[in-house]
Amino acid sequence: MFKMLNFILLQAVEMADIMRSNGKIYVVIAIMGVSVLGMILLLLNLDRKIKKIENKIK
Amino acid sequence: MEKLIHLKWWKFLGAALLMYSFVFGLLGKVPTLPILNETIRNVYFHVPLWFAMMVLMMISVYYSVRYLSTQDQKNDIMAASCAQVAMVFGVLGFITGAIWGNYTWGDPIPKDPKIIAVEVGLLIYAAYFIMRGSFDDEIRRGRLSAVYNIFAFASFMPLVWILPRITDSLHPGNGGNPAFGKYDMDNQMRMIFYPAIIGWILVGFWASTLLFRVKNIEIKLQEENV
Repeated sequence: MFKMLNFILLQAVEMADIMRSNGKIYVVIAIMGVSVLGMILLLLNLDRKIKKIENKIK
Repeated sequence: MEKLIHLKWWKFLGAALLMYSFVFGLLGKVPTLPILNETIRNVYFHVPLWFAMMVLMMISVYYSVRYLSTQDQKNDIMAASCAQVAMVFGVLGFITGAIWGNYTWGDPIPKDPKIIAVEVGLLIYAAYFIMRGSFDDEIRRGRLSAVYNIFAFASFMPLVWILPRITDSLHPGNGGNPAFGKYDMDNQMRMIFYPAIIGWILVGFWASTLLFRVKNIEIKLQEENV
């Protein structure tokens, strides 16, 4: 009986957990975002290096 | 190699494959699995990062060996550039893996042999860059870091491929299991997974050739100024 009640109560509990909603699709989105961000950081690093060279040529 | 750097088709191919994997990685049909839910799609975004890292490390070792036999500084620079991008991919793979693990294994960095092995491996590669930075003499730097790079590669591969298979691991395909069957991957997933791997490898190689070119120009400028 207690187990049954517990089960029903647990089912009703809903917390604000965006990352676990909609089949955890936001986890996938976060990971895609991180990989794109990484590529952008690589580009920024290149940008910095090229700028250094540009300053030397001037 | 010089020819390959100035060719364009493989850069477009890499970009197109990445675009394809990003779009169809979200739209495509995937098997319905408990706990994993939609995060099985991370197979397209997390795993290819590691594959690209491995391939870049292999290319890096190839150029290190070339450097030792030819003493051409360009080979040394190429090896360093590939290793640098490989390191970026390794860190990205680590972060994405931590996010994924947090919502499926319940811990961002569980005590898993593969994760520990990768931590050690990334530290070995970090030492490679520290070592490169500590030499002023190009020839000595080139030779020692080429030898160290070969050592790093030779210790990294067994760490991530063999050790996790001997013990139990949370990662699929370890602990004596066959590799890809465990992903519960169907043929439709493979149609996105393999292009994603090739795309990341090509884009990663593209990034390392860009780094290589910039460093080359830097060295040429220095020589002219002296």
